[in-house]
Amino acid sequence: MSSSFMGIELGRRALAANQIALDTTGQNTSNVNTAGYSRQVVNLETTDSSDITLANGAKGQIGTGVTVSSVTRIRDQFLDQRVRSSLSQQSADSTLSGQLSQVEAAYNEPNGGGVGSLLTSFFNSFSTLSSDPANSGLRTGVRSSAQSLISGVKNLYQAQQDTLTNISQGVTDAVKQINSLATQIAGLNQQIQQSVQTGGDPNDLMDKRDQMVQNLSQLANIKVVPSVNGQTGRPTGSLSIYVGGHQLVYNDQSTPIPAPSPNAKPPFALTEANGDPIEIQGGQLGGYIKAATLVQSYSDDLNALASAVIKAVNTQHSAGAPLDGSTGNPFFTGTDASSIGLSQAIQNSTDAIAAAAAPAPPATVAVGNGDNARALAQIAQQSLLGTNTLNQAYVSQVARVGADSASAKTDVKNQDSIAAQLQSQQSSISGVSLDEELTKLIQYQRSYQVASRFITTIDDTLDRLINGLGKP
Amino acid sequence: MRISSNEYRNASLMGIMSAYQRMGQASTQLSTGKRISAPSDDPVGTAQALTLQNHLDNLDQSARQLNVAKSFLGATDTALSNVGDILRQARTLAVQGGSTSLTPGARSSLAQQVDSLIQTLGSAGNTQYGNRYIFAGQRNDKAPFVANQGGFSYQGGTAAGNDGALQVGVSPQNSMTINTTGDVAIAPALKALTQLRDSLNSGDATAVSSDSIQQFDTQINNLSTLRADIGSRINSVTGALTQNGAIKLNFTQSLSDIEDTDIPNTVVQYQSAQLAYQAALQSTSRIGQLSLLDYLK
Repeated sequence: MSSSFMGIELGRRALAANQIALDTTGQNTSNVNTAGYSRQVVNLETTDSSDITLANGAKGQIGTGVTVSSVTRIRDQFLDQRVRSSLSQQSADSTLSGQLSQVEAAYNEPNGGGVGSLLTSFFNSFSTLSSDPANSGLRTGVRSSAQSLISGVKNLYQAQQDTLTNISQGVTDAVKQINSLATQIAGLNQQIQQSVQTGGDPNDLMDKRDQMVQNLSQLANIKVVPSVNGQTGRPTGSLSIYVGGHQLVYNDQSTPIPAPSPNAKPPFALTEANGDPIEIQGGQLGGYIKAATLVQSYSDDLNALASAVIKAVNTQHSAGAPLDGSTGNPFFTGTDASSIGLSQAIQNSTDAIAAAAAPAPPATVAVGNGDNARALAQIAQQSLLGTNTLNQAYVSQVARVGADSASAKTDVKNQDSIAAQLQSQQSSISGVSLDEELTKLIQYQRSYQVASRFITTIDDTLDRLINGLGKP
Repeated sequence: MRISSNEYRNASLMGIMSAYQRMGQASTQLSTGKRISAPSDDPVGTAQALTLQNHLDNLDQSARQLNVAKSFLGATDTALSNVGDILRQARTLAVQGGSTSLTPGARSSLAQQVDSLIQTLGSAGNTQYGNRYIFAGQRNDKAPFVANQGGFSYQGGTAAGNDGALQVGVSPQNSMTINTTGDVAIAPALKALTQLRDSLNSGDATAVSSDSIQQFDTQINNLSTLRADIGSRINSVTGALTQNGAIKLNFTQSLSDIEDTDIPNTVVQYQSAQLAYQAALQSTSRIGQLSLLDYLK
């Protein structure tokens, strides 16, 4: 036989459960725009039923109402994993593409303002000089086109170095962010673990942590392993995180990645304190490291080109004679793209340009002799870099930079759409739908109203029982 | 499939941005007139464009050099035509001077006329092109013919001294000699004129009538060979210039095909991107307004 007041208790339970469901709807709609928020659902279950004895003496059972068994977040951990790895790749690609676009712009091609056309103008100025070698205007033309070439090469080299400096700064910043996220994730691990141990559902903490882990995946490729209690085999709620073999977070402990040395050379690879390499392929860091490797190789190519120009021009120039008849005078100073400069003698006077073939003593220089200037102009046709002429080598360098940048752009486009698709899947599972929440709002509101009505009805019957029984 | 509210907004935003980006690309191509604004737009096309541009630069340089050669050869030819006139006048004087009936006074007057021709020829030998002496070979900063005991001596560059030829690189591979030196073109004529004057002065009619006339015939003949050679070089330069122009036209066309915007095609692309952009904007603004809230009391 159940209690007379059982109905009131049952109604109260219904009110309480629907109240929590309504509140959860409120929480979901409030956080519709919160990054990383997963929608939460209220899991209702019936409370334990109570035994009753039926008329025939048999035992029956009667329900005692509803209760909230748990409030859980809707989240697909496997999808999270895929989102993270696609974000790592996307972030690496877009970092790489951003850096390469900067480097590519410095070549100023194919608009014709680049080193290639400066090289051609330089050698053509020798060709022009060769047909009237005593003409001081043409000599000045050689000097000024040499100066343009020098500043063109130096500017390009400097742009590459600037990019490498930016990358180095980017690597340092990314490591700082990774370490800071690691500390926060370790802190959240501790709170979540405590909550899980006491049977709680720390939904919002887990959302926060998942968001941080996702941010971390944009900085580097990470491996996330949920910790498991060794004895019970149940998840403890903690996550362990590895970056390229480096254990970044373990339960409530985080181990920072050592900050790169300020004097680190490209590609700015990261190492453990003991010198062991930390292999990083993905995320911003991976993008930076890949970009640094490429930009350094472009810079090496430019150095090779500049060295070849300096060597070939100096050798030929030394063989010829300036107006004073001396030989052995270099045209350029320096050895590569960073140090290339114009010889002091030519800076002082264009008479020092060795346009003539060296005269056989005792003959003096023939001012109309442009043989050496013509030989200098011929350098443009020589295969100085492998089978390539200087211009061909330059063109292939530009084509390489362009191809690398183009393929990075394509990768970004592809990864953007893959990441967007996965994030859309993630959002379709975990994201809040206002229409859905509104529908639930009505649903729980009605349930709440019915529970109230139920209590009123029970109250009416009890009123009849208590106050009305026995009266006429 | 379940669709969250944010997902819908993100998708709309991506649609708007991608259409806007395509519109921007087409617009850049149209406004710059260039299909390739960075090497990554078309790495292969960039390499082709740069190579063609290099060929074009070399063609321009060749054209410049060919024009230099043409002007210099032209100036040389004009100067040599003056020399020819002088030689013909001298021959006429030699024919007159060869007559045995001439009085010593008439002979001396002829000798004076020849002397004046010698001076004219000497200054023709010092003809300048700009401030260069065109018959001085590579020693062209100084006058090659210097007055010397009633005649001129040649001091310019010579083939033997290896400082005679002025060469111009008319293509990356070839160069051409654009001058002729005074020791070849002028000095023998001067020598013949000097001999004629001396023979006239000494009254040696036989030397005048036979040797000198014969010498002038030889010189006139040599000179026309020289001029024919220069003329043929001018012709070949002119031919090379014409060819240069034709190749340049061809390369310029190829370069344009590679790097210039295909206007009609790009306009169509622009319009289709614009249409997509408008559609994305409209769907976002219209459908985005709908909500269950509007239907609840």
